[in-house]
This record gives sequence, structure tokens and C-alpha cells, in this order.
Amino acid sequence: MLNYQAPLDRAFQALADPARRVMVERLARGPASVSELAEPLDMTLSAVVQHLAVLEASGLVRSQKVGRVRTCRIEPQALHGAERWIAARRASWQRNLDRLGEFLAETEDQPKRRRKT
Amino acid sequence: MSKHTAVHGTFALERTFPSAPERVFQAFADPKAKARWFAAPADWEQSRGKMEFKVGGKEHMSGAPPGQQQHVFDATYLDIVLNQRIVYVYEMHIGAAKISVSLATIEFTPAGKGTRLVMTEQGVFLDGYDDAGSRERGTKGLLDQLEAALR
Amino acid sequence: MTRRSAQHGSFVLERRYPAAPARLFAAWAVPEQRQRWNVHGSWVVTEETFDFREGGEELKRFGPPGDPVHVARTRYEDIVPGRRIVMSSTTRVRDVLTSATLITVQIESAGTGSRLVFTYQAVLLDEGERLVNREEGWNSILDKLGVALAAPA
Repeated sequence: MLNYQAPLDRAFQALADPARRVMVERLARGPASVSELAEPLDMTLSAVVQHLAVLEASGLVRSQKVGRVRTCRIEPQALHGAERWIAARRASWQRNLDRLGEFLAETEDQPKRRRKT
Repeated sequence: MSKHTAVHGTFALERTFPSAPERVFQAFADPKAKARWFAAPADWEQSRGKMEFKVGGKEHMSGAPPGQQQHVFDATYLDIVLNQRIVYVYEMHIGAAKISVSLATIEFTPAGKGTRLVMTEQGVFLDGYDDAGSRERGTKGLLDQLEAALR
Repeated sequence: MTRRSAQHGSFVLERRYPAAPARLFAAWAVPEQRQRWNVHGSWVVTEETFDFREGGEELKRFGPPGDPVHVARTRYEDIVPGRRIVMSSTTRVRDVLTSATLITVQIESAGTGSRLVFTYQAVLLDEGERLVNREEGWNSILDKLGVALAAPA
């Protein structure tokens, strides 16, 4: 089981709900049953199940029922891949905005008519 | 794997430039100016399609990291307010796979004699697709190690 | 010109419906079916086009009776038949953009019925608008979808 160390990015919509954040943070430390997930949350079990449904639909979590216990696990691939996508997009923009700054500085002194530098 | 997933995410970046909003906006609006700063990393092989800076207009870019598949960006402009705001939607493909669809909003606000630029992207990352190149490299690396260990 | 700043936000709605995924998907995909539930309370729709396919674009003119000023243009960005729809949309009032949105609809089977997860990411440009109103509006529409699915086909 991968230990998911990196801080969870606030950006993820599936995690925008505070209850879902709590659930994913718990699962990042290891698998848990639905009732274990529900414990710290002040809501009905069926509300917890609804939140789980959103997390499963987004691919961040998967669950499996064995006997009467449903066990939930984080899907490190999904979170990892999505985080890398956001990190890559952000890094790409940081780089481009750096270059934009340089471009603006280079061309700042030029009058309306183009001038060779 | 046929599992269809979708993870949503939002991020925002903010910068202040000492140039007036008209100049910063122009750097986005004029294709020649934009090509001077909006580009893939230097070691990528890249190409640009025509950029039509108008509502409904398209922009196309593609680039490949050394030895990897093409990353393709296709954008459609949704809203342009001169010197104030640009909104577009874009898709990203890696090879043939659609990776993401995102809304991007760029706002230009006067800040003294300069400009405060805020870039917000809201998007959906599809099918849990990991970066194809690194996944392949990752698997190959493990197999190599296994093979070496078995000799 | 008044400067308007953009508000960004998103929400997620979920429903369980007593219909199989294929039927739920058809309720979105088939124009005659969609028209039964994708309605906006007392507002009228004066023009509506359909083109449900990847890259397809649809137009809708709607608004209060006698004043259908809203023009929504939707493009289908991604369609996985029976499973997922991703669409981008802009709304304009008298040619001025009031919002741009990205909607993801995910459908999966749940018992004998289906689960729908509806994610709405928006940039709102009209200062009078609040995301919570959009959320209320869509909650109401998804309820109507349930009623339409419960009725005989």
C-alpha cells in the first residue's frame, strides 16, 4: 500500500466538501471500513455513503464489500495522475508568465514604431 | 482498463507586471507577441497552428518532450473584453488520448502604472490517465531491474 | 464601461434514479426526452437546437415570458456513451457574457438503478449572480429528471 505523503491539494473538487476531505485524508493513511470513515463525521451513515459515491465516481477511492463490511481504499494512481496534471499545468503557466515578464521588459522601451535593438 | 474517471480541479496564479494593461493584453492578443513567451519548454519539439483571437476563434499548439508522444492543446475563445479579460476552453490530448478539458479565465486589472494578472483554470482530468511516457518508463525500469536481479 | 470581475466556483450534485444507466443517459442524449425535464421553472424557451455528439454545439434562447434574453451555447467536449458527458457552455445576455461553465455528468449503475454525479464548474461575470442560485436551479432540474424517468417511457 503506497503511503501517500504529499499534502492534498485544496484544488480538487471531490475534496472541496470538508467531509470528503476528512475521508480522503483518513484513507491516505490506510484502508478503512465505511463505519470507520463515518466515526469522526457528524452525519448519518447514508450521508457518508453518498459522499463515498462521489469519491468513487471521481476515481479517487474504490471500495469492496466482503461479507457485511465495505472496505474503502484510496486510488493512488488517480490522485497521483490528477495532481501531476494540475502541477504540470501550474508549472507550465509559471514558466510562461516568467517569459511574459521578460518579453514585456525587453519591449517596454520601444516606441510605437518598431526599432531594432 | 475501461474504468472512466473524472477528477475536477481548480488552480489560480497571480502576477503583477510593471507594464500597462494594454501592453500585457496585447501580448496575449497578437499571435507574434504571444509566440515570444507562450511556448513549450525549450527542449521540446513544437508546432503552432493558426491563432484566431476572437470569440469562437481557435488556437492549436502541439509539442513533444524528447522521445515522447505529442501533447496537443486545442482552445476555443469564449469571451474577449479588450484589455480586461480573456476566457477560453481547451482540451489537452497526449497521443490519441483526451486527458483533460478546462476553462481558463485571464483577468487584467490596473495596478498603479502596471497590471495585475490573474489566471484561473477550472478543469476535469479524465480517465485517470497518467503521463504516458513516465508510465512506460516506470514499467520498463522495473522490468530491467527484475531481469538484472534474476541473472 | 463598468469593470466586472469574475467569480469562480463549483458544486457537485448527486442523485439516485430508479432507471438503468442506458435510460438515464438517453434522457440527456435524446432531444425529445431532454426537453421533458431540462426546463427552467416558468421561463420560456423560444429557440433550441440539438447536436448531441463530441464537438456538437447547441443553442438555447430562453428567459422570463416575453423577455427571452438569455442565449446559452453548449459544446459537447467529451461523450462516453452511457457513462459520461463533459460539456462547456456560455450564457450571454444581449451579447455580453454572463457566465462560462464546464459540466461533467457521470452515470454509473447502482443496484437496479443508476447514480448520477453532476459537477458544475463556473466563472460568473454578472455581479448580480450567485453560484448558489445556479445550484438551486440545477437541483430543481435534476428533480424534474427524476420525475421524467419515473413516468412511463
